[in-house]
Amino acid sequence: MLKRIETDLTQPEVAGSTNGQIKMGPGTLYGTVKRLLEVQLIEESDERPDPQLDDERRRYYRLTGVGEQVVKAEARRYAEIVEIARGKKLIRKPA
Amino acid sequence: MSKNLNNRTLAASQTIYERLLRAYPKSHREEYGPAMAQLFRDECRDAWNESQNWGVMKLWLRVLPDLVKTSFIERLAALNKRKSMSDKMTALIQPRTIFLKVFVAVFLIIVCTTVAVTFLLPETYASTARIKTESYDPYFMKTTFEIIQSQTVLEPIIDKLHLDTVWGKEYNGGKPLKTDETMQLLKQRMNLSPERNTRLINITVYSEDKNEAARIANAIARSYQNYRIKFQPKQMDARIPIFPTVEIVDSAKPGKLPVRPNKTLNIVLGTLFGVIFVLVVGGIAALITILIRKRSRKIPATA
Repeated sequence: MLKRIETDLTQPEVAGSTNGQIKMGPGTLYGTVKRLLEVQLIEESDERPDPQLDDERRRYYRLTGVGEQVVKAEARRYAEIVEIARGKKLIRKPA
Repeated sequence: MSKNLNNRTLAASQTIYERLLRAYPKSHREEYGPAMAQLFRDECRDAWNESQNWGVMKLWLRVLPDLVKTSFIERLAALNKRKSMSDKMTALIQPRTIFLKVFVAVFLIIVCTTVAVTFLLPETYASTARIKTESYDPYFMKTTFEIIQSQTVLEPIIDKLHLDTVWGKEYNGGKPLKTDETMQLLKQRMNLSPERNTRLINITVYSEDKNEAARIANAIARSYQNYRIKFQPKQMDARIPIFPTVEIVDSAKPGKLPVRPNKTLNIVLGTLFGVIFVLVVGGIAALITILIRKRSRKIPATA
């Protein structure tokens, strides 16, 4: 049973979502994709977006059910760490 | 013109990147090579649009370390995928991996260099003359050593054997050496050592010519003997004959075998050094490999 959460791992997306702090090279990007596929956190998707936005050379991946659980658990872990940091007044709440 | 330059720069970068993809294992290259090349092309184009040559250069500065690191990780991963022990052993015994090839090559280079240097070094012979002095007192021995190396003893030898001219031909392009220079050279080539618990002193001379070594060692012994005769206390009674206080016990003879280089020792030491070097560097490489492998295992969780 697969959750249909499309994910974009392309370089502009990664750079954009991290304010340009992380720029993945092709080697790191596809090495990561390979490992995520191996541990079945993602899988290749046959679904393609609107042909006007699509590029036939692109390959699409989506999170598997396990992948989604893992990413949520990871996000929760980060959220807890952020809460602890706020409790200790290491960081402030965003305005 | 600018467009041509643009095309040339981008085309060259893309060609180079596609060639560099060979650093990855074949399976990885077949699966992701085209996608990686495509991503690089896109990034290259964006970098050029952003700041032309400088942009492409910045891209390379980011992509190259990434390529080196990830190709290393992928190669390790490919090696670990060999399931059977025999596969792993075969991979180790047959130097298929880049690292093993490098280590074997470095080891062979070290050994070959040692052998080449050993056989290219000029052969040096040693000849030793032995003299007996009247005392084994350490101060007396020390004084004797200094006198043997003094100008008074050595200069007559230089004159007699024409060492200025002979060594000038060999080391000074045919021009005779100055006496000071010859003296310096002679001192470097001689070695004085006491024979333990005796009154004997060994005068050893090294030379690439075995006959020359023997000639000089004997000449030094005789010159010192003459010095002692010349400067011994005045004869008190004419009826008592003068005996030389220094006796030449053994004359120097031309050496049969060269003493330097010690070929066997050099080759054994070179091989040992090669083994140690490869083991140390291999150990460090293994350590780095383990660290990178640990790090690569964390990648999926952090991506």
